Amino acid sequence: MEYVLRTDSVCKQYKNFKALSGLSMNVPKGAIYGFVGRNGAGKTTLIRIICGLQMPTGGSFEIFGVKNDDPDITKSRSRMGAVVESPSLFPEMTAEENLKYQYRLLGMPDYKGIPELLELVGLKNTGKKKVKDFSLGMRQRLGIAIALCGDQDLLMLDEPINGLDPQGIIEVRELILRLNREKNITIVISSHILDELAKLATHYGFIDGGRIVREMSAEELEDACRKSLRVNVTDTAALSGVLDDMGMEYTITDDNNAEIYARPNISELVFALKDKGCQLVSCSEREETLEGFFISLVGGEKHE
Amino acid sequence: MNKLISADLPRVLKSRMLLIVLILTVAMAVGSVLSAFVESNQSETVFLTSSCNLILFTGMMLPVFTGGLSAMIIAGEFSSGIIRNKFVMGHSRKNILCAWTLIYSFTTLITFIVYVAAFFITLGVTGVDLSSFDGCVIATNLLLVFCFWLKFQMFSLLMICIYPDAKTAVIIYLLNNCTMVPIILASMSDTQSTAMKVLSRFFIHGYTAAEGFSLAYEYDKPWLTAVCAIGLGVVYWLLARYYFEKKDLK
Repeated sequence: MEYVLRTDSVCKQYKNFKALSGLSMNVPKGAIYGFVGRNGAGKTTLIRIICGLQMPTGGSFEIFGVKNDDPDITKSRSRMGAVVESPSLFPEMTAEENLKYQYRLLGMPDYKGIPELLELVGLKNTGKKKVKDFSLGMRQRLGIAIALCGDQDLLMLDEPINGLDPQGIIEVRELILRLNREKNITIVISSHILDELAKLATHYGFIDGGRIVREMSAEELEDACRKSLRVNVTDTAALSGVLDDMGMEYTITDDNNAEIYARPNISELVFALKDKGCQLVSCSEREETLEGFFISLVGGEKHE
Repeated sequence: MNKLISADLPRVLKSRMLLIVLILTVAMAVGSVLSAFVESNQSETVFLTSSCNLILFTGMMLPVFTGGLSAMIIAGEFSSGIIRNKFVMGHSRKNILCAWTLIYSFTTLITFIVYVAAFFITLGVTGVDLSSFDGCVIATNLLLVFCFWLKFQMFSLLMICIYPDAKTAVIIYLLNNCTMVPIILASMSDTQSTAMKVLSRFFIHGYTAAEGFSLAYEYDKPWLTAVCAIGLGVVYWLLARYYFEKKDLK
């Protein structure tokens, strides 16, 4: 698999506080990577380090295969756009003027791409309206447009839907999906709003205490979260035979427990097991939400 | 670095703050000449001496405005997060600092030219005979003043790299005023001390106060003073780079 961003045991130590303690993550090309963690887990710190705003105190990372201590890292960064915490905009300028400034920073020969960018983020009719008069959603979209100047291949969005109203959330979500699908831009989104991430992400990195506790694809997460029947039996070998006969998907989790990813007729299951000398001790329905999965990973009791 | 300059220079040149600084500069130059004109009681010699003293004095105050201008605009980059875009786009810290140095040295030059032009135009308007001026001495002293302005600009960059906030402009103003008066007083009271003479070469307030305190006065070894001032400016710039390279940004 080709990765656009990889970190290897990245550490960040402030005076008396360790923000990142050996964080390793891998962002595949073309993914929407949901970077999930509670407040203070280290999401923004990592994004700041990737963007070059802060230096790691340990470990390394690479962007488009270029390591952070390579002088060419600045060239790799120029293929990347980012909105860190809040969009970086000149409030006294219009949307177009902000984009022009960005184009000049990039050394673009002309401003031809600006109308297309404004249309892409739904701001083409803002005219002479100054950014200070924009709504939060409009600013967020303009921030994304600025991050996209120069046809970037990687977009880092730090809490892009924080503070947005429902309409704004939908707009930003649709924009992110469109950028990923139509322009094949790899997008890293840090967020603690799990429901919203679930609608976007193709890959997840769960961060807690400054390190990644689990990295998985959306399919893997779906498997982990899907509805199942958890059964406790006296003989899992017998259960396995019965479930195979019934053509059901299942996972044996230990000597006495299994997860069945279907809704079997309980009476039929009990009789079939009895025929093989196995008893059904208990069964319960289970459906893990993304939130539940996250809590099971990081431990809810520590939540501040 | 060219990209940084081409993006930021037009923005700085069009900024309202630069316009305000230029208006203040003109006002101070014109005000210095006019107040000298009023106080001279129609004596041309007194008028010229007073205006040359005053223009030098206000010239010492003005770097606070040019330094404050860079502090305010750069602080704006930090507070709006624009600086983040520069990093993300792959501009190095060294290039960002170099671009700031060039841009704000340029605005300092513009302000200085406006100041000098406003001074001489106002003198000309009052009908005074300028032929009594020693052009070479005036030009040397003006260049010396400009060296001090540049040195102060580097000090301003250092301060904003240490503490990137709009309030830094106030700190710069206070530090300038806090150091100016003691240095002037020390220079006036202890003109024979070698240590004070050496120190004065780094600070125009002391250098000029110890001797003539006039734009028309021929000072001792102005080239050495210029080298000292620029040298201190370089030290400020190197310190600014050190702090900026080390700084964790949000």
